Amino acid sequence: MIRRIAPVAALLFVGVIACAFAEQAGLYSEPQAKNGQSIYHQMCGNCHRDDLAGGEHAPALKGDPFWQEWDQQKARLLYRRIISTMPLEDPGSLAEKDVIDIVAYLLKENGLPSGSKAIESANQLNNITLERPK
Amino acid sequence: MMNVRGCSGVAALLGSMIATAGAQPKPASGEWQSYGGDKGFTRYSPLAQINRDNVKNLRVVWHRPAVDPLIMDKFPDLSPSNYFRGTPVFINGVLYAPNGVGLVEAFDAATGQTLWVQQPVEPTLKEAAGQSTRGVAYWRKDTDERLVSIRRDYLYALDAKTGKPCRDFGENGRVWLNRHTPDEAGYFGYPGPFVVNDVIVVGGNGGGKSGEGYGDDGFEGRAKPEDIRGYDIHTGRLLWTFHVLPHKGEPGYETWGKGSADYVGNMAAWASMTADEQLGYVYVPLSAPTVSYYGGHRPGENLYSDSLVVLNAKTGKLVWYFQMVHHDLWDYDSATPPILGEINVDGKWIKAVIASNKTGFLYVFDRATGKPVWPIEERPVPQSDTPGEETWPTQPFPTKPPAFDRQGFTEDDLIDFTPELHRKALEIAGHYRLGPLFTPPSLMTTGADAKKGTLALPSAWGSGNWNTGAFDPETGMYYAVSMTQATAYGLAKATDPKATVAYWIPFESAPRQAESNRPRRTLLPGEVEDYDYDESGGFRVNGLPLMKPPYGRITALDLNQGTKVWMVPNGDGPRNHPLLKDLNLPPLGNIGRPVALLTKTLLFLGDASNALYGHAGIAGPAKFRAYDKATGEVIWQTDLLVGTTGGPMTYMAGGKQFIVVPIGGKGYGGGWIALGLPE
Repeated sequence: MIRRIAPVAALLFVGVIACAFAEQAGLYSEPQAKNGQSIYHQMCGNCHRDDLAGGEHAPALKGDPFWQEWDQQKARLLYRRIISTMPLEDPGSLAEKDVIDIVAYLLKENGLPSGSKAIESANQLNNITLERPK
Repeated sequence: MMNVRGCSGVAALLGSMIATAGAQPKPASGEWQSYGGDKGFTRYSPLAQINRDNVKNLRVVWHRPAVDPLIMDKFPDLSPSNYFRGTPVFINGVLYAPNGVGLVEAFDAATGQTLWVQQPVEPTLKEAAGQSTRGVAYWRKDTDERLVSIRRDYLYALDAKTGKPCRDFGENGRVWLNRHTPDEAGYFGYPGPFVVNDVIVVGGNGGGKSGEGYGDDGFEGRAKPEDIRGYDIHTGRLLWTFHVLPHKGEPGYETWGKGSADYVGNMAAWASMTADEQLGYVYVPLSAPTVSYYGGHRPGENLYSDSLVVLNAKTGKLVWYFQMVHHDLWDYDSATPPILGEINVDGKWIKAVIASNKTGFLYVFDRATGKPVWPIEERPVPQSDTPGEETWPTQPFPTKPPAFDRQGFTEDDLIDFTPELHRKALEIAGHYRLGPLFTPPSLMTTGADAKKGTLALPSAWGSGNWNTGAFDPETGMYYAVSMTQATAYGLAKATDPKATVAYWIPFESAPRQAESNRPRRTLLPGEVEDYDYDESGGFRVNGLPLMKPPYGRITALDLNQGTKVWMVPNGDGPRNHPLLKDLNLPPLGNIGRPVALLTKTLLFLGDASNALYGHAGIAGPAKFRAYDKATGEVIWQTDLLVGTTGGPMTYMAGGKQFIVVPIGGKGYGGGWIALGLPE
């Protein structure tokens, strides 16, 4: 759906995007995403599939379906969704670090760049706005 | 009589109540006693304050978030799913419903203000986390009022006045429902529990993961049968278990060849049951066996898969049954509440049960005897050439009423708004076998005449589903809500070392969601995404469905005559797509699983949420509409923030009629909105 924005609001919007890009540069580390991939395959891949393509009863977590939901959303919300609804048979059971690493893996798979520092705590995700790469 | 305060009374008092138990009190006028409206799940209310003349004045009078701040403030990392299922029940001025994490909430029906919220058993995120369910069950006797709900692996009984657990029920107010599968699958009871007199009847999933994820696909034939269980409303004690897959020595065991009865499972009731409390019967719709798309390991009719089973609610004994699909190879579950209503056929009143499934048929019976109201014929169907498969030679075809959605797939069904669209659709369809309803899944082949399997209509998501059906007891009209969506059944050898069945549908054969990870283009307002498939796996051509419309529809069937009266599309569908917008097309219908609400003169129906279907087929904002139920004419519609995720319901509070509906969607979350007329 197209976002209709007034000119002034558009300028603000551009500013937000610039800020979001700056925040997202190097948000997570490669080892962190790799660990997240491992946990994902163990805990999530059965339903969402190892290639994140989604299954009969689980949405895809890559590409358009992912960005439909998470574009312009705070990264903490993605963390919250995972830790409080997944895995389906035991929601709330994953450790904070494991969920952060899964978030890192999803960001990597959806085209956001890695950096040298890992995400250390869920609080670091509070002010990060996810933005789909152009 | 001694006043029993809620469910805190001692066992002795409960014992005396059992001894003096009479019939359930008649619901007070205007109550919405189950989330389907009543125990027959008619989704009907006789209320008429909101009518065709004033419906245009409806506005949102209050709304509530999916989870009350009393919970969210304690657990800020809770993030309820967008798929917010809970439809409230309305009892004596109070609405009760499962919230976005499955905890029960009570709120004032006139204002939406919180009265109480069920608390997690421990103050941890793990205990607070959960999924919403479709509704709760309400029970009362004298002053004892209970709400019964299912949350994660547990059946709960709560004091309706306080939301506190009934400590005399199970272990501190709850009973463990897990089915103890070898793969430690969780239990899922999204339809919620169902109360028949003093017995709680529980269906639900949880029979196993089928090897690769939950659901009906996979290559693991071993699972637990998802038996139906009856529990005592007072104590939570297990009273009986009905074996959805008969044990050795029970009738029906012989319908499972090659010893499959000893290890196959699933077949849950995952749509709501219904009940005739005077007869004492509960009507249970059952689903497909493991695995759904290949049955070489389970030759036979496979009772009681895909059956309507009718049980004595007190004993769990089978009264009668009807199997709607023999030896299922399509996942054509009976996924629809078997609606109860009285019809007048050839001058004779019949207390009927109106069953349905994913095929788009209605199967109408005398609900006491199981005798079909109109003949249901066993007709020959196409046979499989997949090695090892023994297709059942016939399937039941109701002679009346006509099917409420399209069945079978031919080239005539392909989209043809433009020659180019039709050419592309023919090209896609050319890779598949086509055929009538019940054409079996087929092998994916290579070579000059390579095929990718069978292209089928309806799909495994069904034309009808849990959302289908509303019945008007005053006119005998049944309103089917359905969608038209194709699917591919392409089988391959199961080569994984862990596989326990010979063939399966590999995930790679299905349209893939993540393949749409490509550069984004700017969409026009109201335009649908240009997917090659939608999020439920349906095929698309330039973002449009492979088939001709309508993609979502309402069909009015006169069950006194067994005839179709009218059919209309529900919603615009993709008529604003760039390839169609200049064609001045009529509404094409939106796909999805919205639920109807019937009142004295109107039929209310929203668009389905994008939580399940993305934007496939829905143009612009989701809408909520009022139809003239006599003609199908749209009388009024309004924009919603997001689509509907559960059924609308209605009631009177403070002299005013309200309509409440759960909504949810991507980027929004979920919540309830209440619509009412201005003062």
